[in-house]
Amino acid sequence: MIMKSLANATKYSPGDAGPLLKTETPLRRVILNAAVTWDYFPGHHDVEYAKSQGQSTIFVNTMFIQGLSDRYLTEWFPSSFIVRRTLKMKGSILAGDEVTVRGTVLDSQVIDGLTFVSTRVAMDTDKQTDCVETLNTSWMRGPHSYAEVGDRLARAVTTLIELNQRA
Amino acid sequence: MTGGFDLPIGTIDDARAMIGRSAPTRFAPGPVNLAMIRHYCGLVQDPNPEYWDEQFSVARWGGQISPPAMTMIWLQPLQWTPEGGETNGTPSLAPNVPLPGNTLINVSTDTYFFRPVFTGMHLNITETLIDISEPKTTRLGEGHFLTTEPVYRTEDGDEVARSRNILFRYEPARGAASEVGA
Repeated sequence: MIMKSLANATKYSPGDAGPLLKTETPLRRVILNAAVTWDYFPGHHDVEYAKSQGQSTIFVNTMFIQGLSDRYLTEWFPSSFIVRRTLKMKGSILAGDEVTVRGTVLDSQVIDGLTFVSTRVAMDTDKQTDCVETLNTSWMRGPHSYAEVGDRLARAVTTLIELNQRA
Repeated sequence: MTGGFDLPIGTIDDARAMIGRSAPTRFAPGPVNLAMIRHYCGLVQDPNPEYWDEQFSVARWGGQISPPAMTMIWLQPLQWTPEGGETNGTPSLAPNVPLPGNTLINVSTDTYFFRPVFTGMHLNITETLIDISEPKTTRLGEGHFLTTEPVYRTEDGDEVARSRNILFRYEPARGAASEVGA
């Protein structure tokens, strides 16, 4: 295994900002969220239940937020593949919200010849700043096809887990 | 389905007795498929050509890949089966842990992805209860944080993803109107 920091590399420099993404979650899209993800927890489709939970209305689920974060990253880095995503919810994305997504490069490293870039993605709603945060590590596939890499990717992710457990 | 969500009520001791236990492995009700991939990408409005152009995906990945964020979705339980009739559809281990509190919300999740998921795969999931917190009071109400570890595998046993998920099981505070979680 060869590992070196690319923190000073020009391509993925810590602090680099990603594009701004804006999206809305009208009631119809939150209902679509429940249907498409087959998640019938009533907080995602039943306004009265959501209110009984202490929410003001129904809200999107974790799978929506994960997909929005991943979409943001692959639009920013089109040849990337997410290998780690830590999602922390400080608030909920509600029906009727406007969501703004921003990203920042945190660091990059090479494990066994594969380049990984770490990013922070923040989602604000029109009602709450820093509503959701994801900390991500993406494999920058570059010119490699998956057929060339195969199990090397799984081994590199295992190494990444070990490194993160030690940190 | 309207109204409540059937959660087993119990004590913290009932719940702690389950720490370290794994739920029986659950199997996806069907294979990973392109139709659901496109419904999902339509939801999050993801234009990634890997999900809309099969030839493009095959050239890059050797097959049609599924969005990593769909990993949980492929394991969602059916709402009704001929053998079991209607189910309460509780999708994971955590909602089946007996505790005080009549509702829940997901708070955080930390997932590693080891390999892509391709159409045609039949995934399965094994979940283990890792921890239950002492009672905590948050803006939403009083309850317990449950930590579980779901592991997702292919039908060949290859590990696809491994998560740590924290969920808050609570009794809503009266008059609380603060939105936290998903």
